[in-house]
Amino acid sequence: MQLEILTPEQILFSGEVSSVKFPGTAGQFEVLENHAPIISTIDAGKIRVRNAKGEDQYFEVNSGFVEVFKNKITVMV
Amino acid sequence: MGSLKEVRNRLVSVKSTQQITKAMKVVSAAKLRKAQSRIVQMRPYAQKLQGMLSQLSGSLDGSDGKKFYQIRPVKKVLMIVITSDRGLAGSFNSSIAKETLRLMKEKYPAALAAGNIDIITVGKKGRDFFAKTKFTMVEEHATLFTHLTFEAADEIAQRIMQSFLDGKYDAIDLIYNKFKNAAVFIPSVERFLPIPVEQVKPGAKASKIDYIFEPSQEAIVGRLISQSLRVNFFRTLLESNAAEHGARMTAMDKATENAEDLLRALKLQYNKERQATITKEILEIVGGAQALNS
Repeated sequence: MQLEILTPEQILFSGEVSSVKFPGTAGQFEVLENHAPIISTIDAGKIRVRNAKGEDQYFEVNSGFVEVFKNKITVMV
Repeated sequence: MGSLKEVRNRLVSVKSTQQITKAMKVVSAAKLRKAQSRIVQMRPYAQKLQGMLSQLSGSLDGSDGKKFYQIRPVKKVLMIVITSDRGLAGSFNSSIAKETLRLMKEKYPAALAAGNIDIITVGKKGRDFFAKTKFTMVEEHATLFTHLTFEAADEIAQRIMQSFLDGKYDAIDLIYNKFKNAAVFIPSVERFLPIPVEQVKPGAKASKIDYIFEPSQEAIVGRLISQSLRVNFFRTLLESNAAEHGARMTAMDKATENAEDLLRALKLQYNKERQATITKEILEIVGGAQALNS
């Protein structure tokens, strides 16, 4: 699935991923392939991005929003 | 001949001034390009934010965000005046100052008469101007543009929003130069808070997708609205920044052209003087030789 992490200043990440874990306001949650459409707020913490090879990449955030729709994840921090 | 030397000196000084204005123009052009690309880079973010907000606009009424729409009788006004740190940008800063004073008279005569208008300036030039007036400057940010980041802008935006929520101000306006293109900027006034109602279009329901909302629609809307205000403030600063470099580029281009005209006139004058001197010298020699012969 497709992930995009946006900030007001730049596009932080854009590419194919296999799973993403978010520090959601209502608790941590992970998004996998074919996740139901969701809009959630996220709080301070780390976003873990895992690609197809199982390699992890972390992004530190203070707050933001996640939208998942049709295997396209948009994160705004 | 004194005047010949004078003209030559002026020629040299105009030439070196022209070199400076030319260099400044080139520098401004480069900075303008950078400033413009920052505006472009922010666009996807702003669009996405707007898209989410329209998904959720139905649940605005029960949310935290509602208080940013609260319209109160206007007693105390805050004006955020955005200028540049440096001059030599044509009418960039003076038009903002003029616009601000005009706005006070036309939009808030009561608050003006009661001395209830406060000012926050961004940019050295605005500070210098309003320091001489009777208005209270609650904050001044003189070096924000040297290194403009979202964090720095955000900090100011949040403080301003809090002062609205606390009831310190009933209306907050932004006065800045809107960037149109490199040669044109438009001094503009934008209502920052309370949020003008036409910005939310409840009629324009985007295709309703069955989203899961976490923690709740109301909580998300509240944060979205706050975030979009902060992003909007940042966008205003970016626009003003781009407009500033565009204005300076145009001003310096004009100055270079004017220097060229001046140089042409001076050169003509110089050549005329030189010719006159030579003619005079020949006349003297010929006259002297004739006096010897006779």
